[in-house]
Amino acid sequence: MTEMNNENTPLVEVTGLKKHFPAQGDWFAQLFDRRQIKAVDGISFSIPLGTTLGLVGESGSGKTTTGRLIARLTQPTAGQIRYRSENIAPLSGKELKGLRRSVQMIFQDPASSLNRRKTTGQMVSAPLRIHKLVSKQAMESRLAELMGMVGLSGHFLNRYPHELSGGQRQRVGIARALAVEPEFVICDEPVTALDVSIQAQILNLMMDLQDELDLTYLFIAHDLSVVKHVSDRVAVMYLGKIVEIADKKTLFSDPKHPYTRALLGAIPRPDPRVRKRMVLHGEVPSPINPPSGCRFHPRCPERIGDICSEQEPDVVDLPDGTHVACHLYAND
Amino acid sequence: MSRVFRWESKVKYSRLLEISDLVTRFHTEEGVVKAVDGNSMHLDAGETLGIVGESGCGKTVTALSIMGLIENPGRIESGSILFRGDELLDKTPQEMQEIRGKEIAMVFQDPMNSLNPTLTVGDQIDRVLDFHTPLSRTEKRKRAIELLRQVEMPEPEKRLDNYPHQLSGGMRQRVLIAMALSCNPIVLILDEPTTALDVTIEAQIFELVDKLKAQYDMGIILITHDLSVVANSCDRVIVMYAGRIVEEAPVIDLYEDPLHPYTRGLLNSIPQLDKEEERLPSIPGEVPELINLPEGCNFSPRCQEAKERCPHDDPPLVKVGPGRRIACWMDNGA
Repeated sequence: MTEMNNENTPLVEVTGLKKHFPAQGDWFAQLFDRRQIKAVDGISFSIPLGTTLGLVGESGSGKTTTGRLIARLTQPTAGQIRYRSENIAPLSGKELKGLRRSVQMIFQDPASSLNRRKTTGQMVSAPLRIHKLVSKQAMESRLAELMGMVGLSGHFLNRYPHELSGGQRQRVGIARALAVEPEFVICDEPVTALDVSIQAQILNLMMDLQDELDLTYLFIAHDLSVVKHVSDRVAVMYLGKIVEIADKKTLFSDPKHPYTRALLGAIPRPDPRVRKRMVLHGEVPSPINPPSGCRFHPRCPERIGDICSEQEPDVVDLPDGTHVACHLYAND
Repeated sequence: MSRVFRWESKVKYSRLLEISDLVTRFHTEEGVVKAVDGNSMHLDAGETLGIVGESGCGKTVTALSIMGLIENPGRIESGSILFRGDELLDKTPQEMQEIRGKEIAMVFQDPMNSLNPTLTVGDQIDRVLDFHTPLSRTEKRKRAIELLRQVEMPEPEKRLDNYPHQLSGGMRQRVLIAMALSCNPIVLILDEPTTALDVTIEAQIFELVDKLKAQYDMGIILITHDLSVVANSCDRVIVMYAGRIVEEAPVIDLYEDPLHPYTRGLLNSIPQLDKEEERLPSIPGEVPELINLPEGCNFSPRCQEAKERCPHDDPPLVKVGPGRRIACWMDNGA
């Protein structure tokens, strides 16, 4: 892997990233129906080494697709993904295999991301065997080490996924991702499917591991409270676009984009005296046919005029470090 | 317009449900699952009761017991469920069918799996109305549109001809709510109604439910694992753990002064928007399997405040104040 140019180059740098899927139908139908699902439609961001970027958004925002693009589980339609200054977007085959030692992924649903017919030991050792990282003799102790890191005792190595609880499965998923000693881990809703008390355990574990192993995370979630807890910076997505990026404190204390404000306002607080929730009306539109101009304009409570429905807003850099795409902040 | 009658008894019951010592068990090959282990609770008109707990605590089984939807290998073994003074456990299946969907309605957890994918929205609402009411075809269609309008569905007439897969998650949930409300039930049970939905849609759904509750003076049971949702929408809360009620309190009391260590643990482990925390306090260990419950207090293996007595003796659920009950030895366990 190439070394980064200088100390300040971010570990990951994404520019103009797009992923368009053809809409329904087989190849024949697609000849006549050129509609596309613009799941990710031109996003840019960077992640400095050792930090966590939280990526939030609701259904159809494109956040999961973004995670999969950066993990190169799927090929971008356009744009660049620079990992350690090298553009990994066009990579394939053997080159990708090399990448996998540095970039790993933890998935949302521990039940479906683990192989039902393999034991924990088989799943966690698989990446070690594939990349020939550990000799047969050393395998046992490496596995014990990994299990210890995620807080599971050795006897879990012989269990199958259906014999594990949700929290235990997620720990196995984490052990598997960490087996190759990656630098960068993409986490797609890693705690969404877990009970509240287990969520806290797993979040604490992930943060401890980040410190111990110098990991960099892209943390994808729809739960802003969870994202706030683990992130250094947060990016908010809506319908394939990033509407706002800011460092955590700024985003949560002074959100700029009307959608970010609505999202924060809609979150119920665990305090019965604070009952008033901000209600954002309307449905999330379809990514096949996004609204013209600013995609959020049909639901936006702070629309300023025709410009919102006619022109897509450019990203503006604000003095407090926020990048926001909204006409409210456009430079005149 | 409506020929849908609500059975009005001479005495207006404000206590809609009175559940006493309910025991529901599942007799499986691996053993007996004590899903609901002798629980008592009540629901009054105009209030929202939250039942909160994690996987396997018995909250959904409680709802299914009320609805008479427990099937083999499950059985309601003992106890009583009084609906407006009337014993539901004595009803025949046909009698329960008359009540279910009409007087007591339920919205189930996953909208995609609760709607019939092969029928249009219109057909599904029609079936409910057809079973419980004497309305004519045109009257039913009118009622369906009116219901969809009530649940703030955009373009209700068009929606009638849609199939579930053509609708978003939020819209499907509205259809389920519309179906549940179609015959003006007096008790509405919502089981994790917004877990699969985005938070902005969730806010809409709860705003709608509050409005309808006030309009119809319904009693609502809201089942969820989300303590923030409970804080926002409930008047009283019951916390369940491994098949038992561990705490009950009016909502403000529960959040200001939670008594049971499990409740406190749960509240502490929620990442909060308005708090800065390095580490989230978390409850160690896992929820026990209901087939293999520990001796003594079910929560004691994970309890930070467990005393000598706790692993040996099951604490009874006792009243500790107005509307407050707790099952914990607390300081008497030493």
